[in-house]
Amino acid sequence: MDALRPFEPSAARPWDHAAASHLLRRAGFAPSALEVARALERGPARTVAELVDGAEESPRHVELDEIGATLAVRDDIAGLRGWWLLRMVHTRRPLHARMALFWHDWFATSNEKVGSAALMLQQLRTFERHALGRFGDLVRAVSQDPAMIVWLDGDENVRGRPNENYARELFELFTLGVGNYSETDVREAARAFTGWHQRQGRFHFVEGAHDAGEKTVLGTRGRLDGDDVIELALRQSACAARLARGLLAELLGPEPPEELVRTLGGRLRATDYDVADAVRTVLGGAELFDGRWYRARIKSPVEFAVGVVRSLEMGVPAQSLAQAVSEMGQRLFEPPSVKGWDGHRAWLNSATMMVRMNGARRAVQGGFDAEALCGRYGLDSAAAAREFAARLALDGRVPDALRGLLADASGPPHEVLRSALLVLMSSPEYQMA
Amino acid sequence: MRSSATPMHLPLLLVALGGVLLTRPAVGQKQPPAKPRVTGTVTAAAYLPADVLFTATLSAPDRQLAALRPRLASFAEEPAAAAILARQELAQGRLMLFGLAGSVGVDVWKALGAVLGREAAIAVRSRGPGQAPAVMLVLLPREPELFDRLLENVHGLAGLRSEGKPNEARSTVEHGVRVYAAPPNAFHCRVDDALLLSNDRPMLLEVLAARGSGSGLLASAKRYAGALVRVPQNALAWAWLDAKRLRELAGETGLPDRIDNPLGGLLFGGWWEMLRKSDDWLAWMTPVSNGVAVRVQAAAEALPGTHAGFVPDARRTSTVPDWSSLDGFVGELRLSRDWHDLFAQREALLTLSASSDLANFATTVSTLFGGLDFIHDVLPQVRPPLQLVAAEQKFSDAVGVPTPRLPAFALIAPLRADPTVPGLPQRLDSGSLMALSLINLDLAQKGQPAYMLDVQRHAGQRIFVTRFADPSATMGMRMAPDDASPAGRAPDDPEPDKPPASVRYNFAPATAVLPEHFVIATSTDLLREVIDALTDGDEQGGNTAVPASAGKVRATGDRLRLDAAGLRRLLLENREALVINRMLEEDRSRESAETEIDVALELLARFAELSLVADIAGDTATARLEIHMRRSPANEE
Repeated sequence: MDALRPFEPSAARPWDHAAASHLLRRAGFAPSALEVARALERGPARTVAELVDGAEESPRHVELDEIGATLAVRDDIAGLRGWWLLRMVHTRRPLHARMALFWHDWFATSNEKVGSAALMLQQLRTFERHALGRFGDLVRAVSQDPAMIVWLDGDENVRGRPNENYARELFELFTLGVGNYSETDVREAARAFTGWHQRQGRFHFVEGAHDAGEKTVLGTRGRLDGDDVIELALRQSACAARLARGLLAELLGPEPPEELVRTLGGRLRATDYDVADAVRTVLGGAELFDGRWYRARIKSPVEFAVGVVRSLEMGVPAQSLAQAVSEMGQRLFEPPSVKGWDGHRAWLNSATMMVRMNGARRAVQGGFDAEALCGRYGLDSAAAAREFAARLALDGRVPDALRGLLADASGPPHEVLRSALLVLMSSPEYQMA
Repeated sequence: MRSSATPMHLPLLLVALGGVLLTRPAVGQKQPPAKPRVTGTVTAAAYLPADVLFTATLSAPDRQLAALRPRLASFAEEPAAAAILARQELAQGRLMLFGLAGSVGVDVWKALGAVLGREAAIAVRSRGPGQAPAVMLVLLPREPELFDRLLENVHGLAGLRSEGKPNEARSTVEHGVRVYAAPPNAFHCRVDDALLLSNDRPMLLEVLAARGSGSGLLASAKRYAGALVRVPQNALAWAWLDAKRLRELAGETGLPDRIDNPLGGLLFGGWWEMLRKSDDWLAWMTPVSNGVAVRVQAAAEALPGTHAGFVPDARRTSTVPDWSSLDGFVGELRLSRDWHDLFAQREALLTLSASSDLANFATTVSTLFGGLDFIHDVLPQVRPPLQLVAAEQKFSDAVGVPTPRLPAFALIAPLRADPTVPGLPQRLDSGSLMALSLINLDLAQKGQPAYMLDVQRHAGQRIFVTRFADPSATMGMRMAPDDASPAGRAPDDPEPDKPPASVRYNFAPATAVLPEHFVIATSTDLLREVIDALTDGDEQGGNTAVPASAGKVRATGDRLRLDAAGLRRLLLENREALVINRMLEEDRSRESAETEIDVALELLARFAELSLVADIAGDTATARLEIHMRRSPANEE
């Protein structure tokens, strides 16, 4: 377990602004100055505990939560997209929000085929409910999720004519990964899921369509049904390793070392796939604060846009936020394929980088109330505004190339703050989490 | 912190306050005849320079305020007013006014009346390219003594006078008059009976220098005086714009010759031409029963022949029913255009690209009419005016009720009684059917709910109607109980006996070709009512939604008419949808969003009707806006 030993601040690795900000970015979105100050005050262990346990939700988030059903009834998927992002902006549980987004990518389902905002909302609720629960419960819930059933043709999976789509993706993408199952396993597992249909937005088991005969899946023979197949998949070490690799890539950075994957995978199996425990272990581990993971991940469009809004403590119109995120390449509720988004390097190209820069410009020069922020944090000089912007956007680690540009910013503190943030948020460094 | 009254309110607020302020309690009273304004006494124009670009004047604002004091006082106590007055800048202004009134021992209404006086005017003059315009305010007090006491207190508070003497550092004597300067750029002086206030010291001094000679001032400017004779004696306010000078100042950056949008060009091209060529614009406001009327006139040379389509021959104009009798009437737009002429003259009216877009549109539409050319065969059959009517939807035949609920719209195109194209009704019928089929195909291709086509008869007429399939079948699913309110419904589900549906379910097109009209509507219900109105409900099967007694009028010019009660009903029905929209699109709390919508509802409850009638006759374009208030707010009835 040495690879995931708890983080103990030291002179070499202090619990300072950069460390706190790094943790908050990985466990959510780019933090506000207030969030960083609070984390510094509470220390790493308590901060991680609070992130995982989750604070009481903000009144705005609660209010927004209540209107999701109305948007779904209207079949307003665009509205729902903005609504979800706005909830991320206002949440006091950023880790839960990030994990729901993670599961949306892991169990990628697109409304392009599902064609129902109601079902997509229902699936999102499932991800949120199980965001930091047990992975097995989540896989079982997703297997009976109406949107997933529509997406992977579960309604066509009937005795005698099994449709292999769900069984294949269950093994390949959701649990085991390629190379850890056979084509026979897929065919037999598909039989186990026959009759797992949806009707009017609810899971509906059609007994007459179910193949109750004997099957052999992953080396086990019996009158297996869908639950049995899920259980068999969860028992495989490959499943734990795949989930561990995914979580580490999300929380630490791309291509995590195999030693870490093995360690976290073992821990997942030992705790019956307790995701909260795994996330707590990674976020509270010394590895996270190793220099090699600092700004090692490229922010997803959602992380980038929501982070800008949260860190600037500003309000934002939901539709324009959703539009910007979509233009950056992450159209929520419509991942490009069952594999989800490629992520990391694939997020950035010349076009999406331009959209990010324009998005940052719109935020900083549009809805952002620089004067209010200056007042809130007592920024009464141009130097104070410059320093604040540098810490907020880049933890104070401003590259030399940008220092000259920051020095050029002049005028009253709020104008300097605005100019400095514009420079910093458009920088390559700011694209990294 | 956000104020609960947001920019959305401002237009409503201005109109509401304007209505409350300027509406004289004229119920049952005869309005004085509209006589030309006689300028005998000294007017505010005598203190304004002759070369202003714009000026607006309030007549006897103190008396208007006094007459309306009871109404204003009661309005100020209502929640809507409270929400508006809670705005920081208004609250500060109120406090200052209260303090000022108290300092001279009068109430705030009296103080406000004394400040406004017998006439108040504002004028704007150019200070050159790139410079903010110079603005001047002239107040003519009716009670100079009270006015001066108020002014003295302001001077004391601002440090412009102390111990009864002017602060020499902040004032100078110019042309025998003391001119005070308050930072950053406010200059004022008390001269004769007037108070002059400006952000431009040279303009103020120019007026002081000219007042002895009587020349160089607006009161003696021929063009202004010539325009002013058109303002009736009973006008509450009037405004004048020197359009010619404005154009000269704008130079090459002024108005382009043509509108670069085909629809905009055909709708507003005539107005655009008048606007471009008019020398001055004059507007005045007069009281009408329970409201005010604003008339705007622009004088220019008559429209050229290429623009004849904007002023069609009145003899070709069709009669129109009184659409306000429709059940659930919300509004109407009437446009008098000779569409054939406009399409034929498109290259003279529009930019090249807009003209090309219009030609493409005509070509596409022509394909619907099997061998007929849209411009040369179909449009000559259409008579003015084109009418767009909006009314509340009933969703009587609908399988689902959408949220938000939008009004139904109907477009009515009068046709020649003696069509020059054989078989025109059949051609229009088949064209309509093909258009509906194409729309349906497009919807299906986009994965959106498609509809079923049907042919019905109503009032002896054949109508094509569309009907959506069950939304739950189309959308595939309903909400599961744990993700919605009980029984899988959203909290604002409008009709619990019908399934909720998406906004697209507001539009189920239906068409009819009548002997002298072509009608396309977004709901079958409205189509039927329109047919009844057009046929006077005298055909078999008609349900006489609009009684024959409602009468028809021969309509020229353009007209926009909005029914406040209909708009309010619409707002009420969609209150939750609007609240949600504001929560999402303005990132506001539910309480703040609800307050805003409720303020709008409260303000709307004070209105009865708004109508805008616009006409071009010879060398004059006239627009008349009438705002009628309710005798008591709708929500009190």
